[in-house]
Parts: sequence; structure tokens; C-alpha cells
Amino acid sequence: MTTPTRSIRFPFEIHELDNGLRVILQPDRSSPVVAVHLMYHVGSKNERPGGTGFAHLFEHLLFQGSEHVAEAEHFRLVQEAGGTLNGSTWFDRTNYFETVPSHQLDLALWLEADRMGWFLASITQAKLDNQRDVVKNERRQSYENRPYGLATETVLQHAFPPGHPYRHPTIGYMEDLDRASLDDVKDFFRTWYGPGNAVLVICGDIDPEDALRRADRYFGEIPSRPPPARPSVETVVHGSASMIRLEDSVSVPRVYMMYHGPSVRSSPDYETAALLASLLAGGRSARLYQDLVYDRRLAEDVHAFVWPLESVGMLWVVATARPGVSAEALQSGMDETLARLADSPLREEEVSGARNRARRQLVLQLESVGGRASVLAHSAVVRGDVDYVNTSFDVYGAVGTEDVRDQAARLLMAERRTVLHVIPREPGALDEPSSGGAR
Amino acid sequence: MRLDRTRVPAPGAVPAPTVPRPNRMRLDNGMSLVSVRRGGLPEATLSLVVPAGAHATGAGTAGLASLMAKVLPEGASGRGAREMAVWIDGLGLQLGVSAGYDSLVLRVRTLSEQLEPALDVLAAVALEPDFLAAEVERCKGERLDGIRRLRDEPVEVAADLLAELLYGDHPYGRLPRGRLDTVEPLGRPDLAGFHQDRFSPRAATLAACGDLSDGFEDLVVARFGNWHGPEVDARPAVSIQQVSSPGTVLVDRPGSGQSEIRIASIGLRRDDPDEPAARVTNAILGGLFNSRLNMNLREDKGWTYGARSALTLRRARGPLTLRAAVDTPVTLDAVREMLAEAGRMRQLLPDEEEMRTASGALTRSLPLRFETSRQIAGTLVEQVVYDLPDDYWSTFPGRIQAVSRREVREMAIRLLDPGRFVVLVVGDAEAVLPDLETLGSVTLREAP
Repeated sequence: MTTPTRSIRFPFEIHELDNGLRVILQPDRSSPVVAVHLMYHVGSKNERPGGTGFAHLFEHLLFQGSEHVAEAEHFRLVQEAGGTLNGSTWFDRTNYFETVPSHQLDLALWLEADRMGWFLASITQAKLDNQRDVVKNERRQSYENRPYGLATETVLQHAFPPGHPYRHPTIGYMEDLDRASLDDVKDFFRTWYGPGNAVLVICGDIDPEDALRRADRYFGEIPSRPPPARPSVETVVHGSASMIRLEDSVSVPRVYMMYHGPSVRSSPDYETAALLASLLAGGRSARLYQDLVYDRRLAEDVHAFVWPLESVGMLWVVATARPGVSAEALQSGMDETLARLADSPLREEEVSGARNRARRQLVLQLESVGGRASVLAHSAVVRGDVDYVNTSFDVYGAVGTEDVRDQAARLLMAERRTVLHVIPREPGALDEPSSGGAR
Repeated sequence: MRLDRTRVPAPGAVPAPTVPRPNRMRLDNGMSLVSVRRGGLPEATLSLVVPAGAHATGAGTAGLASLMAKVLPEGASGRGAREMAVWIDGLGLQLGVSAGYDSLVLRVRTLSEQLEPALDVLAAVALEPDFLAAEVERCKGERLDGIRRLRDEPVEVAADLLAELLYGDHPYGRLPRGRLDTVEPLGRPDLAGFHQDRFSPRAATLAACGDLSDGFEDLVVARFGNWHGPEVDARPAVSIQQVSSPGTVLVDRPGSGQSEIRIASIGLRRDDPDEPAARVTNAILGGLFNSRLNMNLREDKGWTYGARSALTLRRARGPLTLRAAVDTPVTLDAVREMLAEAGRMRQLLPDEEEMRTASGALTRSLPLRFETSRQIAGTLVEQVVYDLPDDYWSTFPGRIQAVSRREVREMAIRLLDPGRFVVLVVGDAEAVLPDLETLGSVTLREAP
């Protein structure tokens, strides 16, 4: 096993403002750029029944201006300053981020602070209606009108019991988006968008002491709010073991397998599962790729990955059939390769290759200040361990062949998984894809 | 002092410029090496650029360069496909080989502890591919399957057909991946021949950036110094015939929840002296979030998740494309608004604030372009492919800032000529055809 020629350490400081906002500072003066990343500990798992998609719709609304920032000015000011920006929502968290030339740090802080502290007065029904339409079009573009676009949400519906917070997709369902009201917006903001429920990361060309002063200057006067109640989440270890079929406008079938696995808070089980996914399909030398794509010619492609989630874990194995190969034949092929993990032992070189790829991926994720700020924020909010940015290399490096084998034996069990076949729709049948289950 | 939140904070002192100066060297065999050494993270990006893009083949053999790129790592220097995969994956390398129109780039991203074996891999893949018959056939089969499957994707259907509608039989008239009819006849001799013709040290450049060791140049010479090859014309002559506008073209995709709209015409070469005005024009029309197309179709009307325009600059004249995926019932309205925004660019001078935003976004973003080794290596590659001078980026802000409002309007008149627009819609014909016919004649096409 090789070790890095030099150790990788990113010095950082963590502070807490009087109002509860945690501030993480990571100085790196190699380029005159700075990333500002604000992550709120709220995501689609915190939505109410019948209110799916709301956390993400809300994220859109936070770009519609605040008391001192006119509508449409947020994007314009950052782009005019030469910066990049965006926001994103997932199950566990919502983030807002800018990377700007470092002399524009105050601009990013001012914008983020204004929408944390002075948002409510600016929101209107017209803005809500407009962004509701935009998000519905996002759902059409990225899910409904895209081949296989409804696959993951269909798996989630079957893998989790009714009422489970991970049972619905972050984009939400159309009928729920229609229901979102201005009162919901205000309630959601008051509940989840207080400074104590967020982490601010400033990463890049800064002097930490100066950056902390600036953070306090812009965010310090925002009043603290009571911490939101967090219902405990049932960690599902048993899937439905069900097999679902979904018709779609596609020409070849695709098989999705989702195994309930470790959350990011279960280290090193999570990293071990990530390495397992990598040696299954994280390169052309990987087992599923060799068997299904090279040797048996059953699949056009195959992927395996873990989702970095807070309260549950998911390991996905996804393969697209070659023309003429049925979903059943493809699944049999996948199952045979997975079953062989038990009887043909893992070779040390398979695991060391996966470790090397993981370490390279970690480094590349941390290369830009924006990527690093995102990792720091995720480590703090979702993982509950900011120092993961520095320890992750060692965690992956310490996973041995035995560990991966044990993890495979525990994790890759039929009763822990949900399987979906997406199959070509019969000619002439043009209804919406059937969801195959109740929402 | 209490903070005045009603004012946009004043920026601090502008940091020193960050455009790195590359080291240049030429090997005895003619190969160029450009490199930028950086401390920081223990990683590096290595990109070998060769003039073997899709532009170097005719439209009739579209897909040749791209298929060759796919086959290169599947057997080289006597190692079979599986052995290559184990070698590359075992080192943890990220290897990508991609053929665009104007060049073919082999890119390796690696931890610097693996720099030497990464160079071994790069040299083997680029210089000693075996084009094993079985692997060529397998890769071709995969490519054909892929082309068939991409017909399911409205975005891909639009891209493929738009290229043809704009450029006809010019090499830009097919996507680099080609089509079933052009890939089907390709075989081992085509790939090996293309490699022999286009891969030569005299026309190749290795662009490297990152944590490069002191003896990096020697490592390169040791692996690439014995490479010999013919003189290669890096700049195939191409003239583009302006295809006459076909009016509106519709691809029926029954049941589509959205229509993919493309409105495009042939634009500029990368080395056009009016490139700065074209960039500003595009930024005002649709290059930024706050550009006119997005503010109108998304932020005002809510018809789409995003509307934008893209200015594609190539060695020969690339396209300017307006694009949006819109809710099916508003398809005609959206096409009309997009055409209206193009028309407004031609009729009126842009306002001062739009000029400021466009210019700021284009020029002040330079520090963000030169942050990572991947970006810097990418910029070096771009410089090679388009023959850009070393001071291209340091003088870039001045050229953008010199663009006047009048020049933007003149550029709009040149680029956004409704008589030359191709209007392409991929969507549900039953729902949108009668509407679109109010624009004039509509040609129905199959997905290519």
C-alpha cells in the first residue's frame, strides 16, 4: 500500500458567534479567491407529509432577494464581481455558496447575511408562484422528461416505509408543490433558517482573524432562534426485497439495485462501503464492469456508489442493458457477480486500487476552495466531524481487504435491497410512467 | 459604527493578477512541453494534445476520431484491455481520452506520488496503442449501442440534428461521436491509419500543471523522446457553406412533458478579431443568469428551469445557440419570446448596467479560471489548440472593456440574423405542431 508523499492537512479554525452561528475558517493564500459556503441543517427529510419538494422550492426563493437586496440582484452582483454561485438541496441539508475574487469577500457575506436575517419582509406571493413554476419545470426537465429520470424516486418509495423522511425525492411531487403557501414559506424560514442551524465556511485567500471579524460584522446582529426539533429517523436495515417494474420512454432496460447501508456517521463502515462500490464498478478493472461489459456483453455500462447521508445509508448498483438483453438477464448477471464475492476472495490489489482511487478523488474534491468549503460544511453539518477534511485520507487508507469482505457479506444481502427494472414502454402506450406504488 | 446594509459593500484592494507564466520547452523530436509548477496539493494534471479531432475527418467518417479515442486505452504496448484497466485503476489514475472537433486530448489526473507511472500510462496509450481487433469491435459495438440509446434523450437528439441543420456536410455537421451510418463501416485499419496520420511529436503538446517534481522534464523526455512521426498539418483548411435556413424543424417525441428549443446560426471563429464583442453580446443575451433570455423566460414567465445562449468558438466558425426546455403548452410563446429577445438585441443599444454586468462577469472572473491545476492545464490546452499568445489572458480584460454598446448592437445584427436562424424543436408534435405552423412552414424530421 502506498502512502502519500506528503501528508495533506488543511489548517482550519472553528468559532461560534453569540447567536449560535458556527464559523469555519480555512486560509489558503495560493490563489486570490475565496469561497463562502453557508449550509443549513435542513433538507427534504424535514418536510411535512404532503409538502414534498418544499425545502428545495424554498432554496429557490432565497435567491429572490431580501430586505436590502432587490429581486434578481443576488445573481447579478456576484456574477458582475466575477464570481460563481449556486445553491442546492438534498435530504439532509441545503447549501448556498459563492466563490469570488478575494477582495469581494464582503459582498458574499453581505448577501448571505441579508437573506438569513432580513428575508421575510421581501417574500411575496408573486415570487412564490413564479419559482413554483420554475421548479415544476425543473422536475419536468431533470426527471419526468429524462430517460430513467423517475427511477430513483420509485426505488425510494418502495425501499422506505410510509412516512419515512427518506421515502420521497428532494425535487418533490407536482401536487405537493402546488400546495405550498406563503405561510408555509414563512414558517419554514422561522423554523429552520436561524443562525444556530447553520454553518458558515470561509475558505481561501483570507486572514482568519480578519475574516472572523467580517463574519461577525455581517451575521452577528441576526438574533438567535430556538433550535428546531429533530424527530429521530428510523434507520431502515431491511428493504422490501421487492422487485418493481417501471415503464419509460427508453430503448433499453436499466436495472437499479439499492442496498440499505451505513450512513456517513458510521465511520469507517461508510468508507468501507464506498470502497466496496469502487471495486464493484469504480473503473474498468472493477468486477461488475469486467464481467458485464467486457466478458458477458450484457451491459453498456455499470455504476456503483454510496450516498453520503446523515441518518440512513444507501449503496446503489445501476446497470444499463445492451440492446436485446432483458432486465431479467441483466439482473441475473449482476447477481452472479455479486454472489461470487463470497466464493472468490478479494485480491489485495483490488482493494488497494480502490483505496488509491478514493484518495485521488478526495484530493481532487479538495482542490478548489469551493469544493473544499463544501466538504468542510458537509463534514460539520451532516457528519458532525469537521476534521474529517483531514482525517478522511487515513480512514480510507486503513480499510483492509478483510474489512471490505466483511462489509460485502453484511451489506449485499437480497433482503436488504430494493430492485427496480426500468423497461421500454410498449409502443402505443403513452400514459405517464406508472409509479408502481402509493406515494 | 453600525453597518449600513442598504449599500452594496465596497470591494477591497484588487489582488495581484494570477495568470501563470508557463515554462516552455521543445524536445529534439519536435514535441512541445508546457508546464506550470504549483505547490499546494500533491496532485497533477497531464494533458497530451494532438490534432486528431473530428475536424480532421470528413462528415462521412464522423465518429472516427471519437471511436479511436475510446479504443486507445483498451490495449497498448502489448498489454490487453483487462491488463490496461488493472494498471490504470490500480494506480488510482483518472484517465480520459476525448476527441472534440479541433483536437484530441488525453488527460491524466493523478496524485503526484504516481507521477512517473502516470507518464508511463500516458505514453503507452498515446504512442503504442495496439488496436486489437477484438477490442475495436467491442468498442464499436458499445459506441453504436450508445448512439442508439442517446436517441432517447431529447437534449442529445437536438444537439445531433442541430449540427446537421447548421453545417450540412461540413465536419461540424455531425457530432464528434458520429452516427450509426458513419460509425458502422469503421474498422481497425481506419483507426490505426488515423492514428498514424495524426499522432506525431511535431504536432503534439504535453501540457502539465501541478506538483511536478524537479526532474519532470527529464521524465517526459525519457518517455516521449524516442517518438517519431510525420509532419502533420494541424490546421486542415475548411470552408463553411452557410446552409440556407430550413425554417422551423420539429422532431416528434410523443408524450414529451417539455419541448427542447434550439435557435441557432453560424457564428465566429476563435481568432475572429471581434471575439470580445461577441462574448459581451452573448453575455447580455443569454450567457449569465441575469441575461435577457433567462430573466424573461424563467424569472418573469416561469416557463422553464433555465433559458440561455452559448457562443461556441472553434478553429472554424462555431455556432451561437439559444436554448431552453419549456413546458409543452407554451412552446410557441417561448420560441416567439426568444426570437423577440434576439430582435431586441439588434434594434436597441444595451443599457449601461447590462454592459457593466457582462464585462465584470467576463473579466473579473479570471482569478477563478486559474485556481486549480485542472483549470490551468485546461487553459494551456486551449492556448495550444487555438494558437493563443502567452499574453492572451492578461490582455483579455482590456479587450472586453473596450467593447462599446454600439459594437454590441453591430455584433447582434451580424450574429442574430432571423433570416439565417435554424429553429429546432424536439417535443410532442400533436401538442405543438399546429402552434408552430403559425411561424411558417414546419419540417418534420426523425431523430437522426
